[in-house]
Amino acid sequence: MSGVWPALQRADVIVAAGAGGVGKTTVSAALGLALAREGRRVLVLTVDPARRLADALGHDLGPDPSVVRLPREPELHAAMLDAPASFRRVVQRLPVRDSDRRRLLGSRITKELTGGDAGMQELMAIVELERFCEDDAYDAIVLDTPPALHALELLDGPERIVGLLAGRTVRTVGLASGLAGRFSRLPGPGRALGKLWGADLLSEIATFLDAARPFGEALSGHLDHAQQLLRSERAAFVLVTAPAEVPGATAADLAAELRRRGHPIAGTIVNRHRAPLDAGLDADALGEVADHLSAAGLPSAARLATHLAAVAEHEQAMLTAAALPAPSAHLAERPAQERPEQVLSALASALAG
Amino acid sequence: MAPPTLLTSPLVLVTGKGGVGRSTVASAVAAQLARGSRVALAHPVDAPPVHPTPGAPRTLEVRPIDRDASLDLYLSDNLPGPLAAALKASRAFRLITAATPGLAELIAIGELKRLLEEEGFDHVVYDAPATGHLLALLDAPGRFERAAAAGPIARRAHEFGTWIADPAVTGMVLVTTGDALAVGEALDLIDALEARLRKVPEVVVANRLAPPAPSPGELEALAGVEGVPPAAVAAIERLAARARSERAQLGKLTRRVGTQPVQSHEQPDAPVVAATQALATIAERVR
Repeated sequence: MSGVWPALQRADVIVAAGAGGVGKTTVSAALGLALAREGRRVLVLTVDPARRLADALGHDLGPDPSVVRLPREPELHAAMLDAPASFRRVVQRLPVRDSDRRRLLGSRITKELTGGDAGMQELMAIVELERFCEDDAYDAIVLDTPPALHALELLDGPERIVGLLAGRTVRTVGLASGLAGRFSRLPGPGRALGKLWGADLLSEIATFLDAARPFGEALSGHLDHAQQLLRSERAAFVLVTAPAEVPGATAADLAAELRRRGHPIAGTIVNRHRAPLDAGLDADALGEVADHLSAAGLPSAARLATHLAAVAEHEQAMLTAAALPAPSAHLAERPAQERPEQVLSALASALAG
Repeated sequence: MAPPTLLTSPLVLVTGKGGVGRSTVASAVAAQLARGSRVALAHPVDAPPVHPTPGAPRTLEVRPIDRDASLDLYLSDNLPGPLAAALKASRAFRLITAATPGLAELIAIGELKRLLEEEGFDHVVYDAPATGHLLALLDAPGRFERAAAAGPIARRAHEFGTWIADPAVTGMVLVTTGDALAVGEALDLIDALEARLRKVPEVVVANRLAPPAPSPGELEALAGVEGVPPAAVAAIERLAARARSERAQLGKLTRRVGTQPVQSHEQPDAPVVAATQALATIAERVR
């Protein structure tokens, strides 16, 4: 059993956080499967899975949860959030005037902002997470965090977008959205801006900010509630990393920031060890194996053993250097010929024992 | 006509998902191009910094792309001083810039273009973090044009969009590992890039590959060797299987782009050596 499992087993909401490229989505799905094996009704929320993994989870993976049936495994549910579609659904649910809703959804600015802006995916993930937590259909939700330029985007992005929708710049409260429209009619800076941006675009932006404001206020309430949930005992953040410098440092920095903001941390999952994790097979032992293979006249195999020894030494040095939150689980990279559903089953077993 | 090479591309976008060693390759490409020309190695200021390869020519400079600073520069260039200052200090202005779709990316493109045209660099190598970021960059001019039909910035967006999508301007280096998931994403990215730039990446780098697999005979003989525990046999067999699988994955990339990927092997204890070797291999493709 991995050290991090007991804390994850108890949580209602698990957030998998870390740098891109470490297998967060795969680990999240494997965690979901491990929880489902214990009889829990699990929802895995992912944002942008690699196609092969999405195929393994089900061809109709979309913003609505669908049932995932892996061979010889209990069922679990999974949803793939898509920022523009999720935004439309969230806007439909919020208690605002229909005319505001139509104006917001009709704005060209809305369409372009939801399609591309950093922070929007994170906001949708957190708002949908909050909604599904209220839903009695699930006992456990695993959130796979979106790939981002910066790992802190999960924490900072949603507030920035809500700030924009509510007519606030980051950490600047109380700026009326109507200001944009008035601003463009002001002499001096306003007219200058109108010249650069074009009166067309400025009035479009003013309309958007005006229509967005009630939504921003309503979303702000949901976001606060979600943040409370993510600071409560019901939540567990787990850092996912690979045994390499950059993701290790990212995970350590992220852990420090999560702690500073009062989020509970369950520990670390170190994924994709390329060195063998077998007891007694450390760098020294692998070096000896290489010597035996050389002596036996198997030079290519000896080179592989030497390579594994170097990988083992490097991975160990990295784990010693990075201050990763304890306890940790260590997962070996799965054999290259395994299919994604086999990978998920194997990782679930390794996580839960 | 000779196929376009990186050498004739003023702008070189280096792309690949996290964890594949993209920044190391970006540094290697930049160092190679800098032999005989001035090169800026650019990266977004909020992404982890990129370092020049040790021993890179002195004509290579690292330039962070800072969108806020670039926007300030744009305002100062286009408006009288006091007006620019008033805008920069205004909260409403910040709100408006945040609500302008694609503006941040547009500014980044403008900065890449400015490095080439005004600062006189011969090449700009852009270490583009995360696939989504790069596609957002390429799509930004179109997003902006859809939101704004007229005005100076809309004209500028059109100009930038035409520039960055010009196959004679922009060259591409795609970095991947040999892992099946990573190669699957790389193939998707090649489709996405081809749709936008009407060509496939000039260079594909298959990075962090396993050492070549031993012959089947040698693998069979493993288990009988004294002093080699079963766990070690299994570990070596797994590594050999990875090497074979990576070779098959590389075949997919070769079929898709028409040339063999540059191969760079995993060297955990000597990343600098690995980078230098990748540099040497890439050199043949760059020249």
